Amino acid sequence: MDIYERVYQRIYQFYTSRKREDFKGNPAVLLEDVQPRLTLLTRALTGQATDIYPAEKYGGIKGEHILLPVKINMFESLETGIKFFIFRTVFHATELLYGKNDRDFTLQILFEQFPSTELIHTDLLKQMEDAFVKEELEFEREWLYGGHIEADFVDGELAQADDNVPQANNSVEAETEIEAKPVDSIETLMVDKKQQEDYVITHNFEKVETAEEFSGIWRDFDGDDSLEHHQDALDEINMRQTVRVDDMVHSIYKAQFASNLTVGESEQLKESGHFISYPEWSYHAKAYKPDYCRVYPLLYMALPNDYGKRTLADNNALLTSLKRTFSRYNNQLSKVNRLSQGEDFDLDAVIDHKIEVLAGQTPTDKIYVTKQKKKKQLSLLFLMDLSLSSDGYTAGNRIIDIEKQVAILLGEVWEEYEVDFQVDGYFSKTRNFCTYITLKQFDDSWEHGKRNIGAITPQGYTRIGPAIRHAGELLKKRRNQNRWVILLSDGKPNDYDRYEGQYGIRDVKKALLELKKDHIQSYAFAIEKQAQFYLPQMFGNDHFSILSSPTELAKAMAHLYGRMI
Amino acid sequence: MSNKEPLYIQINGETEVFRHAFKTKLPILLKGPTGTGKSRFVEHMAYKLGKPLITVACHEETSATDLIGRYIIEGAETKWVDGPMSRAVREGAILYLDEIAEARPDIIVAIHSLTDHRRKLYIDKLGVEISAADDFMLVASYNPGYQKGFKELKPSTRQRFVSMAFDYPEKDVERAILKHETDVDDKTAKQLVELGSKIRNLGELGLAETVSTRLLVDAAKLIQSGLSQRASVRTAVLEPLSDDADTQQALGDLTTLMF
Repeated sequence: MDIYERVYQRIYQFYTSRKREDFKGNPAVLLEDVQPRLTLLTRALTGQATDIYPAEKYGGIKGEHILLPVKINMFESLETGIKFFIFRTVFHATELLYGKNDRDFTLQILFEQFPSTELIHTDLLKQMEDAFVKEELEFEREWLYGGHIEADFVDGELAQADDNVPQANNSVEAETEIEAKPVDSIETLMVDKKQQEDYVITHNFEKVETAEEFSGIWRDFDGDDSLEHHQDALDEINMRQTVRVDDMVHSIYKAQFASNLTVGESEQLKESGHFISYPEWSYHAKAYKPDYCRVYPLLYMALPNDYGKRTLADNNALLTSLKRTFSRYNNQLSKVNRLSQGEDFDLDAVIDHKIEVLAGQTPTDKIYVTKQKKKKQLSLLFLMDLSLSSDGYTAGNRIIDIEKQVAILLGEVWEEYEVDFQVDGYFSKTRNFCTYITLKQFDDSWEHGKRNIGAITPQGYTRIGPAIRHAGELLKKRRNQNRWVILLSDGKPNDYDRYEGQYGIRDVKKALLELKKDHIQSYAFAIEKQAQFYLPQMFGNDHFSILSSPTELAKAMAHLYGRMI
Repeated sequence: MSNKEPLYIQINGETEVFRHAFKTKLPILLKGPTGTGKSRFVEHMAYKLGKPLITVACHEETSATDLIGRYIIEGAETKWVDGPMSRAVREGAILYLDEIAEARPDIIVAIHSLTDHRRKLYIDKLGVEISAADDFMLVASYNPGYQKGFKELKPSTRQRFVSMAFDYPEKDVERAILKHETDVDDKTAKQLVELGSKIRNLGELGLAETVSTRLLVDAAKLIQSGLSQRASVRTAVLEPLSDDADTQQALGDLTTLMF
């Protein structure tokens, strides 16, 4: 940033800081602090997978989801602020349950079902009216009852979606992640491909860079991570419009919005290259779409790198602790009874021995027990989500690095304990291009696997169903009786074409049920707190864990190993 | 056997099915989530049929030896002690294997010959085969919930049983159960049942375990003994369900709304 920009920014910040803030001095309740409890409350009331999202202003109902203000500070106490959020949640849950956008009707039902809400409603209304009068502002009742929000729409057809996605630039990695201002509705725009092609590099004469809403004209990015410098400008604009791309980026400006359920399906493309077709489950039609997804299996061959070596060196203490845990599990289960020699007596065998002596028979000499190394009847397929969302951060850790480091640490231990394992990854760009990358085959050398895992980079979207189906096919070929797919993911199922929301969730569940039929078990590790609201719908209540650091994840996996064998 | 008849309100003709299965000497498998009245139903039927009931709560360490029996050393001698299964087979009792899927696989092998026309139990340590007494009946239960636990009952084992599905009772029935078990008033029973049905909505939406009729009965008992409604619900229903702070708060909000 040059000197002119700095001067302008200082002046801008001076004026914006003088901008009047409403209800100054009151304690603020932030939606993000109460979102998990409100989500559970609304789901208990509606019985549906309803989600809570931040709203641009006062929010309301959008489809099957609820939008609420990001912050409430018009009340004098925090308790009243929390009561406000609870009232809004219960009000909207009742609207959803009865399918009516009628304020009086909803209030009547609400007061009948939950009599305590009548007093809360009166109290909130009075306090809000007083607060607005005190601030000399006009009171909009939508603050208490929400407004009506139109469903999203897609501008243009996504039928030819594959051709319209700008080519990925996958040589960068995200360094900055900032939360964006929320929007109630998003609009998916199509990139004008011709303008993108025609774009020529020009010199900007303006001394001050500006941000503006997307006009459909594509520009190449300069490749700098300068998000923090431009945050003020970004806060001023409406981030309603989205463009779907699969470029890796330097900066992430992250916004939550209710999923766009109107995304189109992509057309079947002409066959090209080697792929395997898998069906997909449509929960609306309650039927499979045969040969709907194309999975392209790739065998990854990376150049030598020191990622694996560095990971092992940096996590030496964790590795030692993991080895100790695995060793304990292995020893526990390799106890062999009724041996002719061993470290200890086998009590059951000793009793049998005594019976035989008393009965005048020749007693058996196999009365010892020992710990022997037994080959486990276990095959593990570790499946990593390589989509672009893994380029983000959680609790200060880059998600893809957590995945890679955990895969390397566990692989190192599994190799030592002769576990039959494979490490794969997946990403997608519509149903026509589901890529399944094998990083370490069951019978492959671990050194190759380590190298491949170290070199892998995120790309594309998260179509989990086809990846699970393909993993199941690979596992079916293993002779071991105890076979597991361990999924390591950072987000909900999604794709460039339709795979969002319940459609994707139900397909994943169906894919897991298919595994079960083939006696293959499944477990998921998620690297996102919000996963507690959608993972149980796919993996059940007892087959997933949510973790945010390599240490937690590796330890949870070691514990899981103990339950598996 | 208890002197008082254990209450069980029939929902779908299950007492009739049980009687016929008993008469025709068929084993029964009860399927359903925790706290849906499976064990109570077996107790009730044992009482009605006037037969002794032997219950075994299976867990991952339960082996065939635990059920069939073992030799123990007593002084200078070894002595055979029947396990619950051998005892039930000899005495003609109803043997109830609760959560059978959790037990070790050798149990499944042991019950095979008892679940078909042979109705015999082979005791390998004694080298004898005992025929089941006329009134012997095998009843097992398991929780078939999606991805519940890591063990499942094999289809081949399931086919050896006559099966009945249990689920949480309808609101009216559950209300009647609460009133019968605890003498709680109708309004409170209704509120508790409503709360239960709302929490059950969270089955696959973020709550690992859900509320059983048993927990609601516990809450009603506390209310009847004089504890406040909210405190009773919190200690008997909310706290046992989850340790997660957000879940506790959400369920607390729900309780505040309803009580």
